[in-house]
Amino acid sequence: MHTDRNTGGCADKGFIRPVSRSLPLYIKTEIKMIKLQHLNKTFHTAGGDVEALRDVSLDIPEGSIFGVIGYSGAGKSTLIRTINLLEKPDSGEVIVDGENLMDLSTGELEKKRQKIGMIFQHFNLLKGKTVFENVAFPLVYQKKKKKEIEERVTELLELVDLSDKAKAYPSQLSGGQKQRVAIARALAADPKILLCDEATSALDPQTTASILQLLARLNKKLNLTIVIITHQMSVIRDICETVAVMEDGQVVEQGDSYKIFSEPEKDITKRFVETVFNNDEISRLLTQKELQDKFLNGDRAYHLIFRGDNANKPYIADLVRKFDLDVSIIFGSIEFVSNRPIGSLYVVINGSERIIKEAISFLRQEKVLVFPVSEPVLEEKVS
Amino acid sequence: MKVFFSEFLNKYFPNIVELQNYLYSSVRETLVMIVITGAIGLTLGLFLGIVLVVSAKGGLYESLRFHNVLEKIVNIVRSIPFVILIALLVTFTRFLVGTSIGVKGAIVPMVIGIIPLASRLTEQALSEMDKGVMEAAKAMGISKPYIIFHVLIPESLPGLVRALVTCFISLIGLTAMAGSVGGGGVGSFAIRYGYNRYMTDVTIVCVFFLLILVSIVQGIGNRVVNKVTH
Repeated sequence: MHTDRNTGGCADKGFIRPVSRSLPLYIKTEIKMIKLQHLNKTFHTAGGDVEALRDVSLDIPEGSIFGVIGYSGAGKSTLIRTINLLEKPDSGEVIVDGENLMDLSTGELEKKRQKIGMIFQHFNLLKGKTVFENVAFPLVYQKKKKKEIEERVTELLELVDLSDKAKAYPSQLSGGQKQRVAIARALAADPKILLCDEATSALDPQTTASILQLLARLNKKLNLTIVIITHQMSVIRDICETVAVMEDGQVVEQGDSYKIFSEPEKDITKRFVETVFNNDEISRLLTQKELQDKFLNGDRAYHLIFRGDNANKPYIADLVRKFDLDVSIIFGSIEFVSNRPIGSLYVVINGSERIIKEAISFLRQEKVLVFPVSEPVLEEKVS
Repeated sequence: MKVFFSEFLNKYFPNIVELQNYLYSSVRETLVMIVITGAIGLTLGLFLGIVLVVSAKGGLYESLRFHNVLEKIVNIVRSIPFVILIALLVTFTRFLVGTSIGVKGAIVPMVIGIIPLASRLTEQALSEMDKGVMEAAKAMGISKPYIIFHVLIPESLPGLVRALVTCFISLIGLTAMAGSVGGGGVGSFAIRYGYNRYMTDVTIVCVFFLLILVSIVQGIGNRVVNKVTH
């Protein structure tokens, strides 16, 4: 499956893209559009100091979709606001497209910000202006010619599928449409970067999916570098190539999305991964005392997560044949991360404790993730 | 019809008929006072309100010390009853416009009296503005003055118009009061004749006039608010 997809991908690229364009594509992984180095930021509040960022360093390549995930209060909103210096870090460097923003004067910073688009959870449109005027707003400020503005806005509204709403006011639009307007407005000055601050958190799942599709399309079409802040692992799964996990102002884990999904190391990352497999319900059922007594007879339930390249090996059969264990499957699902499959299975294993331990270490050697369901992963979540 | 009307007036509003020239000039004085103090006082109030908002915590030009001093001054002036303010400002008024009585003399204390209210109401209207929208504008690389005039003020327009209407209506009240201390206008007319000489019909007509004035201002205000709300 894995190799299949790879060859498919190459053929695809060779066929659709002109050969000359494959070179910049190769180079793009080398160029860092955003470099954050050793950022620190402390907020002094009445309730004491809050360290929002603690020595955070990130490199975000040009043309990539980079996700930052964390619970609220983890510092991710502060982090994304340092990229356009809406939030000035106490120390550290913010280098965007080769320029250190900390060295810029107010006027230079304003110029630079025009090349960094940003969208927000609550859209932040100008309520007193029409869709057209909202998108035109940054261009009017930049004193572009009227005709040029008209052309550009029309083009942008087409890009986000809202041509028919040009004369509408934001209050007449749905949440998804508002976010599309915000995206068009953010792209008006032709930026190289788009910052998305919880851009889909106020939207329902279907609208979220369509906005993410739009972002993915823009990323390809405009070679736009996109940074996404979210608390929804599904957003990371759907479009992010790379992800950083934040906790207490620090980046605790980062890397290729598929790797993070298939081999999460930190507890918090595992929790986020679990949320995507949508198995909270099952875990809860399996850890309920009465249900355990009734169905499990003291047997333990395990959550197994398989990566694409080991998904087609017969592990369950191995457990039965090699280890002589009874394995019953409770629930299974497959998720696609960066178009690669990750399988999730809930099983109950019956057998002697020693053999179960051996079996688990065998699975772990094979890089299958094994989480005992009754272990307090869930309790941590509650606390 | 015409005969009936003049008979009706003569019967129920004898003093008004007799003093009609005084009534007209009082109405004119009142309107002049409202227009002039409105133009000066509300402009200054609006300006101070904007200054209060942008200097507040989290504002575009955050400067807490300045903000607090300004706020204290506004509060002090606001807490002085208007009639006392007139007395307090007599010297200042004379220095500024040469007299402390009549329409000219009333305008100075009225302007000073309306500024704190206007700036407070402006501040309230502006601080209802969604901070996120300002942040979005900042993120677009837009300069602070441009944000004030093209984001903050236009986006707060419905609230600002409501504040202006309230100020205008308060101004009408102030003109009546200024009249009682020699400022002229409908207020002094009502006090001098309606109250001191027991000419009830004068009082009624004055009240009626003020009522209509307030209704007109409120009506226009509501229309404008509807027009600028989307």
